[in-house]
Amino acid sequence: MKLLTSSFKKANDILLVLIIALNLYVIVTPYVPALSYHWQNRNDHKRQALIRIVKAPAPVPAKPQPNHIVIPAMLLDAPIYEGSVTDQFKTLDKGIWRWPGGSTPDKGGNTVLLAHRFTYTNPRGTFYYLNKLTVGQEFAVFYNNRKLTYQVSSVSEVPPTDVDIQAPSDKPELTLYTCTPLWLPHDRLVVVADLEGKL
Amino acid sequence: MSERVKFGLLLLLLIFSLLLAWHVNAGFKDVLVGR
Repeated sequence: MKLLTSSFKKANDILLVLIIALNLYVIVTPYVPALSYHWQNRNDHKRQALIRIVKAPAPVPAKPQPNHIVIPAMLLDAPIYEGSVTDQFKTLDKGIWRWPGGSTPDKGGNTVLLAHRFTYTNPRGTFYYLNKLTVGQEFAVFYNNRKLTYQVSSVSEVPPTDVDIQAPSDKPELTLYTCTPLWLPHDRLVVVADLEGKL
Repeated sequence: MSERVKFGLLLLLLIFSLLLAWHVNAGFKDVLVGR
């Protein structure tokens, strides 16, 4: 009987550790993108490196580069994924999705890029810090081996029913959007940027 | 409380924690494209 009690005691200790670990995972993971951002931001090296990429003349790539976006204010350098509307959830799970109903950066018009604000699975929080972008800030998009630089022209919050943000435009611009407030899909945080230069 | 009862309760709590972790892992994402 004593042996059985001691076995239960041991098992209870193990169960308790497992329960604490699982609940810590649930509670702490939503803060991982913020911790990662602050860790990378402890000195200004990453931001400066990304600013250099945005400002530098486009290098001639030796081989085709994957499409990606570089936003120094968000400490973000992430690939842009293409995918059909039927595969939208799969594509969004990978990161930034170019909405196929919009234009592409090299063609002009309104290019729409969207990503989750936060997910438990990797990549966690691709657009977690989209709210760090303010009017006037610059970023770059590398698309089909061309470098395009943009300047933020507006930041706004709209209801999810406002489909105008995806409407075609005559001028070349980029619309980035994600959910707001953080962790909730209540509204959409929309950043519109005008094309500054093409290389 | 006996160790046996404690074991039963902890086991239940573990199952709930596993379900919660599985649920948030699979389903906690903003429904961006629900337009």
